[in-house]
Order: sequence, then structure tokens, then C-alpha cells
Amino acid sequence: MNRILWRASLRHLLTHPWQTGLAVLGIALGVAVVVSINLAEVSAKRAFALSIETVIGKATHQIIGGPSGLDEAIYVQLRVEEGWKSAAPVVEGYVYVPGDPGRTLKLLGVDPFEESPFRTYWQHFGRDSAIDMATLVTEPNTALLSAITAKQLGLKRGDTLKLRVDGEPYAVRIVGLSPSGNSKGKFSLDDVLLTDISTAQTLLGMLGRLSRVDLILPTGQQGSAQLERLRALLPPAPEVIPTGVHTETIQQMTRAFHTNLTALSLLALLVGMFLIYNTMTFLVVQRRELIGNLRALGVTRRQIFKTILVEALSIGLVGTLCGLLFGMLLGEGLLGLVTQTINDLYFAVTVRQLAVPPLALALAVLLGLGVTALAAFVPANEAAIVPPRVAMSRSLFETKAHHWVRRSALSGVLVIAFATATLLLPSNSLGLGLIGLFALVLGATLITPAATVALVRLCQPAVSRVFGLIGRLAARSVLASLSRTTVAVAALMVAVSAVLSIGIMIGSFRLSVAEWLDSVVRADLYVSLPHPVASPPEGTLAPALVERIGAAPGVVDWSTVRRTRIDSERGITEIVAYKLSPHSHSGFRFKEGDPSAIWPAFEDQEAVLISEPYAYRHGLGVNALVRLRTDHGERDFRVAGVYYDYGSDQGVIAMSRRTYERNWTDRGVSGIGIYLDPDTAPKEIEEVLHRIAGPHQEVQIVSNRAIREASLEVFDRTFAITEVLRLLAAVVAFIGVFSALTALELERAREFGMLRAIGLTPRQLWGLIMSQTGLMGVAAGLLALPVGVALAVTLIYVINQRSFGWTMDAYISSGSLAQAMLLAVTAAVLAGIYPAFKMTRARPADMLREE
Amino acid sequence: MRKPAIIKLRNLTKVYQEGEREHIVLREVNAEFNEGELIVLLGRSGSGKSTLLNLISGIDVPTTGEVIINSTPLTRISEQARTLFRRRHIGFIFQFFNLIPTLTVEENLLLPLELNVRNNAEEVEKALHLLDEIGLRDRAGSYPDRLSGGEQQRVAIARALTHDPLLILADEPTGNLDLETGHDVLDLLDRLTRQAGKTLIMGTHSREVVGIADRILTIRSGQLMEEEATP
Amino acid sequence: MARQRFILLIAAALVSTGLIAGLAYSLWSLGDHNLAGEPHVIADALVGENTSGFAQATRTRPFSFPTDYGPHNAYQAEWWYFTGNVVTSLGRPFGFELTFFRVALAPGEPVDKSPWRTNQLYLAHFALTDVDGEKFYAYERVSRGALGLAGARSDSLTIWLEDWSVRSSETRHFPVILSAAEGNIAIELSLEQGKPVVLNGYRGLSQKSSGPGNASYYYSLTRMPTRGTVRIDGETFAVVGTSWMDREWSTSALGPDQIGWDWFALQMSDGQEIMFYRLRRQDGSTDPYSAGTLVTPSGAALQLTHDAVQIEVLDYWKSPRDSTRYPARWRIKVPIERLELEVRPILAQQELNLSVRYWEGAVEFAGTHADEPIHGRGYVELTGYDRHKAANNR
Repeated sequence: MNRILWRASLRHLLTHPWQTGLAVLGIALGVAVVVSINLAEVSAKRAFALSIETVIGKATHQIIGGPSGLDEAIYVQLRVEEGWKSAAPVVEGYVYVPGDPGRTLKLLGVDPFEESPFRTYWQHFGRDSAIDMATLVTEPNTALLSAITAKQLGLKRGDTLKLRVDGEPYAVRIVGLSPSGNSKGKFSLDDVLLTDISTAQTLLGMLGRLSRVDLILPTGQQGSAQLERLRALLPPAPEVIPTGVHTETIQQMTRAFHTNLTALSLLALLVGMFLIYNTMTFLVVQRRELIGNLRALGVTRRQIFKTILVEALSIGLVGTLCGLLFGMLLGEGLLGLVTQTINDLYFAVTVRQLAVPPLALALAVLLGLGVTALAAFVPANEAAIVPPRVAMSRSLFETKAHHWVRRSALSGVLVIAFATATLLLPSNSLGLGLIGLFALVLGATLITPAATVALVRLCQPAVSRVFGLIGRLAARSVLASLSRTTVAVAALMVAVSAVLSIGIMIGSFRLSVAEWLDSVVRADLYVSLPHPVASPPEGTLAPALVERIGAAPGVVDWSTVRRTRIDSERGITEIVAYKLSPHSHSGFRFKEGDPSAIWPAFEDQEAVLISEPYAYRHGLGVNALVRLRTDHGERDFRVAGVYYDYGSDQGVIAMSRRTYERNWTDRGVSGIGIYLDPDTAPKEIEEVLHRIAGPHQEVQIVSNRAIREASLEVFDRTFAITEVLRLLAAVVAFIGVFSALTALELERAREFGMLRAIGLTPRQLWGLIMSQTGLMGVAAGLLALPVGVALAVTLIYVINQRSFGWTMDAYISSGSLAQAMLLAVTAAVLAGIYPAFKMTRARPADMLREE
Repeated sequence: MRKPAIIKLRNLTKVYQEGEREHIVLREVNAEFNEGELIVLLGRSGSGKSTLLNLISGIDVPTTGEVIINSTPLTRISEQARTLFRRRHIGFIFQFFNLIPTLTVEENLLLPLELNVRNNAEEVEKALHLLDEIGLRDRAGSYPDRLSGGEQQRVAIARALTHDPLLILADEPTGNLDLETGHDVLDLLDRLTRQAGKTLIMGTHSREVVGIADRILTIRSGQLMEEEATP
Repeated sequence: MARQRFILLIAAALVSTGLIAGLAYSLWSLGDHNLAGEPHVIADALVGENTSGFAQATRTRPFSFPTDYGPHNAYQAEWWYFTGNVVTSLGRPFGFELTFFRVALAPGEPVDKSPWRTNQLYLAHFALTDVDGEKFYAYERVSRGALGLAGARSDSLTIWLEDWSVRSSETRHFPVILSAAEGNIAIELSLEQGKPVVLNGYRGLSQKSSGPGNASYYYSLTRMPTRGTVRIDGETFAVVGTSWMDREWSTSALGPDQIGWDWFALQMSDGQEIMFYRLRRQDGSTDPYSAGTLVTPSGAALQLTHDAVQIEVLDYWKSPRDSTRYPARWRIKVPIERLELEVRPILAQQELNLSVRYWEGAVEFAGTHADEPIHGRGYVELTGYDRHKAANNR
């Protein structure tokens, strides 16, 4: 009995390949998007963790210094005077390999003789590679590379690698390669240039300094005793921090980014869920009579329910599996975008390959099937309650649907109320924000049927006036099969509103950033080092250059900026030290604080400014104190103002150059802003400055316009992944609508056949089908506009704010609204093409014979 | 007095392909029908009645042979022309699913007029008059699924006449109705077509209806045979 | 003395240990590389057979002090080797070894702005033998000779690697203070010079194998009065005793068929000392370049050639790690001196399982010298006995 039931249902699916196929495709796409995003993220995270692990190794703690590092004498003192064991000095920084595209490598300078307790990667510079260790230690400018990185750079052992460090050219000889292919995945020296500590000091200009000293301390009481002893030994400025702090902070930086991506990918799955629901509803409605007969034959409700559910799960399984495969392919593609964003915003990471952890796949399968089961539950239940032998008349069914519409609308209103309340709660929880966002989507979806009915009713007179009977027919048919049409409309609405809201969000963001750039980029020319690295400390301009530029002809005034960061047990703090020209004061826009009071405090009283995200993340405001680890120990600084800044989502602390120099020994300058005599031509000055910079240090001199453009380019690159997701959501939605409408129209073959019999021409039939789907498109589009705007507002004022701490003004252009409308209608109209084509080609007699 | 033949069937053959096998439904059928005649096509289920009616109406095309209505060679003109011819000159009554579920009784009735763009007041009035004739004026605003089977068929009959066609084709119009209702529907059909002087070709498996027929044709093994009418 | 090869191996292994955790041991135990066959693989990678650019010990030289206490960076390898037997007032004996090696990774002095850059690598071994506690401790350190992390002075007998050190006072060269602590052990010992410097070999030039330059400069202080403290597990013992210092520097390696050596440094109760190293060849025979020195109570040195000394192994000891077998008791005869001794370790397990594996331990002996009974203490070093070496030689 059961086997026959399965067979019957399987055949039904096979005889409706379009519906089945599209449902499979829908779920596959939904799963694929989730899987691909997840895999890309996992891969990026793993690559990052791996490179961190490789570099940190077994170190439990680190002694860290200020922006200019640690005095190496501290290390010698520990070793020689204190007999401290398990300590390894590290000098690290970034170097740039020119080329197309250029590449940033992490320069890791170590003392090979102290490494073995710390970093296991030494093992991999094994015998095969026959490392010329003695050369590495004794010969200046020698280095080791991973075989893969070497290959990518086209280098062999013994070759010379040309580098730029802070714009200055260097060449290092590669004296050894770590083996390629590390199947265990336990270490990654990719993008690491490993040198002896002496080479690193020379290349990075860190003579006499160390970036840090790695330590291995025992756990427990003994460890804390040693830690205490160590802290007592050290001067006040260096700090001993557990290594985990660093890794965790860096990973935390990307958490919001990852959460947002995941939420976006879930949106795609949500649309996929609509598809399954839609398809299953169809498959059930089509077979009401059959199901009635089966019930009459003695098939129990439970069996019917199970059959439908298994049907759905089969579709879901096939779709999920296809989705996994497709997701892995897509993941490869997205990997680049995800890493690009991470590189632009957070830290340098290269991901060699897509990691495919089985757990991620298992989760995806679970998600795919779970969503399917959830989506199929209602239709399966619907099927199970079909009374035996009674083919319920369509109208009764649709009457029921109308009741359902009302109920749905009511719950929709409640859900929206819940969503609004959640979003309005004064909280910083991103999770709560996302719950609110999804609730909003859900609520809007629930209201959609009622709204569709209202809209179509509203349109009806106009439609029938313009298109006559055909129009009236089209409108009526939308209303007459609400159980199917509204799901399609809802799916389309969700997708279009998502597309619209993300578009508005990005647009608003871009506009805010552009405005901010306009106000903050005031100088005429900017001098900086080319090839900036994502994570500070940025490169340092030669001090002589700074002075000479100030004295150059045509230069009226200049300001300098030093961007760096301070590690401490509390995490990483980005610091910006400004020597501001009075011209640049007006570039700051303050969210809090009185500008007239801010500047004197900033310049003379060692007060600091904090950027908006910093204030948000740490819950600080004007007159709050921020504690920073200076080179003379910990110190509190008073906050004079909170300013708008879109440069860092972690937030920065800005201080005057004077404050910086008084508290830190670092004297480096990362960039110079130059104000020109209005009578001079920037082009000429630019040339003069290039001459001043000379051939030694390669510097970048750009106009304020170029800076703005470059910044916006980075912005656009950052949002590329979001754009892609937006597109994917649209594609899933389109498939959904396509499948729903196709099925809907194909189901009405007999009605169309009869119309053809009594004289509807093929063209009229074409028009009828097109206006039906078009009407649904219009309905979806019209509904998507307010929903999209609401979602955009949520994204901007809740999600973004909570994720990144930025506020921005919502900017809704009529263009984006029109675009959304166009998208909805186009999707719907396109979806009508196949059925229209098929119906107009078929012979009426065959259409009548259907079923 | 015999009027001239307005429908001519010439060597009509219809073959269905069922996989490898050919299934010949109609074989070299020849017939002529005159204006105003009421013809009953008798035959068992699956004998080819519906196919023949479909071929006459042009919603299906023969494998070979010709259908000529009022000197229009229906089988040789384009689909578009056939549809337009059908729209103007043919009225349809089916066994099931006669009415558009999303249109009201009145709208269903006016559908042919609307399709022929003849929705002037006079024509509409005439059509609505038919509602009186079938006794369903008060149900004009109802949707079809609120009507009984008999009522639906009465609306279908009325609709088949609204646009004043040459020919009315009815395929088992009473097949889905109980005996008594069937009689009522048949009476109405007979009355209205004769009253309007239309040619009616009605396919049926039931000999019950032969009483109203001018001519009786039987389809058997794909062949059409004429029986003597028994008045 | 034949430690030329040995130090290169230690150096190589240690540097590699820097690179490869526990490399030397695993390499040897895996049999990929062995002392006899191709020990230079790592040594090559590190220092290389290419000794060009280094000074060679080709002819005798005048020794002058304190300069020759200090490092000779022109030569590839060098060491300061302190061993000694000490005892508490209650008679509890300890043996100690504190050795500093210097290896030049490249000839010359590098020119670099970074003070970390150096060609000199320092290694050190620190071992303590506790007979009563039946325990043997051994530790190893390695550091570059830069930034004051490790180094040696030229104006006194001062050498250090991190906090392990040998230091003389500001005003006098002796006594020197040996100071080392690691794990649960520590020593703080003051060593007087004792007898004058003894030049080994021919006026301090010690030929190790055929070929010019395959030699080292080698001198010793053979009887250094010692007092100070030994600390084990927090318990400090005041001790007195006698120590031995070997100083040697050279560039060239041994011949390929010299697989290891047995080195004896014995301080006799009649005021004499004998040093002898037996270089072993692959076939087990004694290499003719084996040699020694007999030091009279007045400090006069008598050269001993390979055939002047007969060594008979009376017993063996198996390492509990992998049953590598070391000689553990000897009968040593110097017929021309009418000297006959039976030497045995004061503790069987004195194997150093560091980046290089060898046995070096305190010994005691008894016997006759010109028919007079004598006894004494000393140190023995045994290298090249790794089990796999033997297997590979078969």
C-alpha cells in the first residue's frame, strides 16, 4: 500500500517536471547561497586562524610595547640577568611586493635558535628543502618563503625578491622554501616572509626594537607566579598579555561583518522556503480529488500527511544536495569577495583554498531539509484533512483561502507590531536587531495576501476599463486562486524589498561616506606611502621628507597624521595622531561636544577625540576617560568630543601630535596633508614634491579628489559581496516567482482551452496570461516599496548602527523605488512568457482534454 | 424543403499517435449538414464524437480531409483566422467546465459578444433577454460554482447563442446531469436553436435524445453512418 | 682532542633543533643520518665542509694569556670544557660538566646595522651527577653570540650563555666562578688555576687526522682546586674538589672513517694527571692519531702516542632508552710509565640525551703507578655509540 502511494506520488512529481524542477532549483539556490557564504567565511576565518596560529605558535603570552615596539634590551635582560627561558623575540611588519597586482607579505623576523619551543613550522623547513640556515642568520637580506607563495611569486630557492618597505626598495634572497602541501593544515606560512631577526630589524627600520617577545608560561599557580615576577621585572610601559587576547580581538572585529553576511544569506534561503511551500501547496491542490479518492480507499490521514511530507523532503533533499554542490562552486567565487572585504576593512589574510568542513555541509543539509519540512507542513496538513471522496469545490476552497487571508493579515499585523517593538527596544544587540528585521519580513509576508486582494480590487475597475474583459478576467483569476497567487506575490515582494532595502542602505551609506570625505579631505595634496596595509601601524614616511615638504615652495600649510595601534590586554586600539593645520579643524564634524571647547582641549590639554563607532562600542561620551597604554605606562585621557568618522568600524581615538609625542616615543608620520597657495598649480607642486621625495622612498602624492575617489572605490569594493548577495536573492526570487506563476498558469490549461474554443485568439490569450502575471508583479512591486523602505530604515538605523556603530542618513531615491517596481514587474512578466508561449501554441482541443 | 448544405466534411481522417501505434479515430468521413438542421451524433464513449465535433469547430485539425463551413475551408486557413471564424460563427456547449469560474453568469453570457466586439447596447439587451429565456435572470451576478449543474448548462446554452452563430456544437450536454434535468436542458436547447433557426450538431451516447433530431448519424469504428430519423 | 667533529655535530644538531624539534635525536634514531656515515649533512647545511675563509691550525703558535683564554673567532669551532669531581664535607660526591661551544656559522664578522647579526653561535651543556641520589641531570642552551646574549671576553677567562657563565673577577684571572642553574639543579663553583697551563699535542698543536690543518690548538688546566655550592631540589651543598678545563679551537673536521672517540681525563692521587683520547675507526680499531698527555706533579707534560696506551673494555652499559651500548669499565695501561688503572663510572647512567647523544661522566679509578697503589677521579667522554650507528656500520 505504502509503496504504491510513494509510486503514485513519485509519478506525479515526474509528470510535473516543471514544478518539481523549479522547486528543486529554488531550494538548491537558497541552500547554495547559504553554503557558499558560510564556506567562504569559514575558509577566511580558518586561514586567518591558521596564519595566526603559525605566527603565535605555542606562545601563551607576549610582552608588547607601544607603537614603536619594545626595547630589545628588555629581552637581553630577561635572558641573561634573569635566566628567563622560553622567550622568543619577534620583529614583524608588512612589506610590499611590487607587481601586478602587488602583494603584501607579512615579514616575520625571529631568532631561529629560540624558535623550536614556539613555532612548529620550523619542522617543515625540513631536510628536503635543505635550508641554508647559516646563511639566513649570517647573511643580511636573506629570507624563507612557503613554497606556494614562492611559486605564486615565480621564485625559486636562490632567487631574489624585490620588496618595498615603507616605499623604499629592497631585495632579499630566498634561501629556503617551506614544503608545499601541508595536508594536516596545521600551519600556514603563506604570505609570510620569514627572516632572521637581524634582517627584519634592518628592513623594517626597527634597529634596537622588537615587536614583541613571545613567552610560554605554565598554566595554573606557577604561571601566575611567573607572570607576577615578570611584571615586576619589566618597566611600566611594556605589557604582558595572553596571546589569545590578540587573536580574539581581531576575530571579534569581523564578527558583525560575518553576522550580516549570514543574515543576508538566510534571506535567500527564506525565499527558497517560499518556493517549497508554493510548490507543495500546488501539488496538494492539484490532487485534492485524488487524495479524496485515496482517503475513500482507506488511506489514513497520517499516511497522506507522511506521503506529502516525504515528497517535499525528497524535493528538498535533491535540492539541498544540488545546493551543496553549487554552493561549493559559488563559494570559490565569493571567497575572493569576502577576503577582499576583510582585507580592506580588517586585516590582511590570503585564503588559498575553500575549506569544506563536513560540519558546515551537515548543517546546510539540515537547514535545507528543515526549511523544506517547515514549508511543507502546512500543505501536508491541508492534504491530510481532505475529506474522503469529496472533491471540495474550488470556490469553497478559495472561500477558505479568503478566511485564511484575513487571519494571516491579522497575525501579520501582530508580527509587525512585535518587530517594531523589538527594533525600538533600546538595545545594542545585533541579534535582537536581526530578529526584528526578520520579523518585519515575516509580518510583511503575512499581510501580503490581504494587501494583494486589496490592491487587485482597487486596480480592477481601471484594468477592466483599459483591457476590457481580458483585464477583468486577469484580475479575477488572481483573486480567485489566492492560495497560490499570494504566495508567489509574497515571495516576489520579499525578494524585491530585500533588493530595494539593501540598495537603499548601500546608497545611503555611500552618500554619507562621500559627504564625510568631502568635509574631511580638505588639503590640496596628500602625501603618503603607496600600497597601504589594512592593519595599522601604517608605513612611516622618512622624517627628512616631512620637513622638506613643509618648506617646499607653494606650500602654505600642512598637517600630518600618524595612524597606529596600541595593543593591550583590553584589546587593540587604533590611534590617530594629528598635527592639524587650522584649515583642517573644520573638517571634523562632531556628534557630541562643543567645537569651540574641543579644539583648545585637544591641542593643549591632552584631551582626545573619539570616533562615533568607538563611542558606540565602548559606551563613551564627552568627558569620559579612555585608558591607554603609553610608553610611560597606563594613562587616562579625557574625551573632548565624539566625531563622525567612517574610516574604521572599530573606532579610533584621535589626539594631537603634541599629546602623542608626549606620551609615546614613536615619531613616525603616516601621511601629510598639504595646503597650497591658491595661485600655484597643484600639478606643478606635485612634481616638486616628487623631486623632494627623491628616488629613495616611493611616495604617493595625490589630489584631494583622487583620495575621495579612491576611498569610494574601496567602499564599493567592500560592498561588492553585499551586492552579489542582493543579486542572488533577486535570482532566487525570480526563480520562485517563475515557478509559481508557471505552475499557476499551466494548471489553468482547461480554462484557457475553453476560452480558445469560444474564440479567444492566441494573442488575446497571451495578453491574458501576461496581464495576470503582470498584475501580480505590480502588486508585489507596490507592496515591496513600503516594505523595502521599512527594511532599509531598519538596516540603516538598527543593523548597521549595531554592527558597525555608524550613523547615517537614509537616502531614498525615486530611482531606486522605480527600479524595484521595474524588477518586480519584469520578473513577473518574464515568468508569464513560458506558459503564454506554451498555451498559445497548444491546440484548444488538447488543452480541453487535459487532466 | 431542404436548405442548401452549409457544412461539408470531405474525407476527414484523424489519426492519433500513441507511442509506436497509430490510433485511427476517424476514417474517411464524408458528410453534409444543412442550415437549421438538428443533427444528433450517436456513438459510444471514445467512438470519436468529440473528435469530430472538435474538427468541425476548428479547435482541432484533421490528419487529412477538409471541413468547409459556409464555403470557408476551415482546415486550410490559419489558426488566427480559424479562431476568428469560430468566435463569430460557432457556439459551444461542453459536457463539463462550460463556464469561466472567475466570471459571473452575466459576464460568461456576454463573453462571446465581448470577444466579437459587439457589445453595443442592443446586442447586450438581446443577450440578456436570453437569461430570461433560460429563467436565470436573477442569478446574473452569481459565479458559476454557485449554480447547479443544470443551471450551468442552461447558461452555457444561452452563451452559445448570444453572438448569433451559424452553428452550435454540443458535446454530451446532458452527460453530467440527471435524467429530468437532462430533459429540461435538451428541451431548452431544442427550443432555442430552432427558434433561432440555427444548425445544431449534438454528440451523445444516449438514444434518449434522438427524438428531437432531424438527422441521426452514428459513429462506429471511425465511420459515420446515417440512420433514418424516426419522428 | 678529537672533539672537532663532535662540536660540529652538536652545533649542527642544535641549530637544526632550533629548526627541528629534537631533530638530532630523531634523525639518528631514525637512521637517516649517523655519526659515521654522513654526519655532515646537517653540518654541511650549517657550516659546510667548506672551511675556506677560516684560519687553520697548521703550525704551532705561541700561547699568550689572557688573550688565549678568550675566543678565536677566526677558527670555525671552539670550546671551554669544564668537568670536575666535588664532594661535601660528609663525603657525598658530585660530578659536574659545564661546557661552552662556539661555532662560526660563516667566516669573518658580518657588517650589519642590526646588533643581532652575528656569525657566532654559542652552545652550552650543563650536567650534574648525584651519586647518592642516583640521579643524572643534563641541560642544553643555545644562543647567538650577539647583544650580550652569549659571548666570551678576550681579557679574562670569561664566557657566558645567557645566565650560565664562567667569570673571573675584575682584578685577577683566577679563581673563575662557574655559575649555572637550570631545572632543579644549580652550581656556583670557584676554580683556582692549580697547575700551570698544559699544552697538548706538539706544543699545543693537536693533529686529529692526516692532512695539514686537520688539527686543533689544545691546552688544559688539569688540576683546578674547586670549592663552592651545588644545589639540587632546593637543597644546597657546600663542596670542595678538583676540576679540569680543556680549551680547544680548530677549523677542519676529522677523517671520514673516524666514527667516535673515548676521552679520559684522570686526576691521580699521586699528583699526576693523564689525558688520553682514543679515536675509533669504523672497523673498531684505534686510529693512529689517538694521543694523550701525562702531566707530572710539577706540571711537566709528557706526550702519549696512540700505541703508548692500551685500553681494555671490561664491561658495558646499555642505555635504558634504546639499549645503545657504551663501555662502562676499562683497564688502562701505560707500559712505559708502568701505569695500570681500572676505571669505572661513579654512576652508570651519565648519558646526555640532548640534541646530540653521548656519554660523559664522572669516574673513579684505582691501580698502580710504578707498583705504588694509586686511585683518583676523573671524567670520561664516549661518543659515536648510538645503536643505529653500529647497525649501519655492519
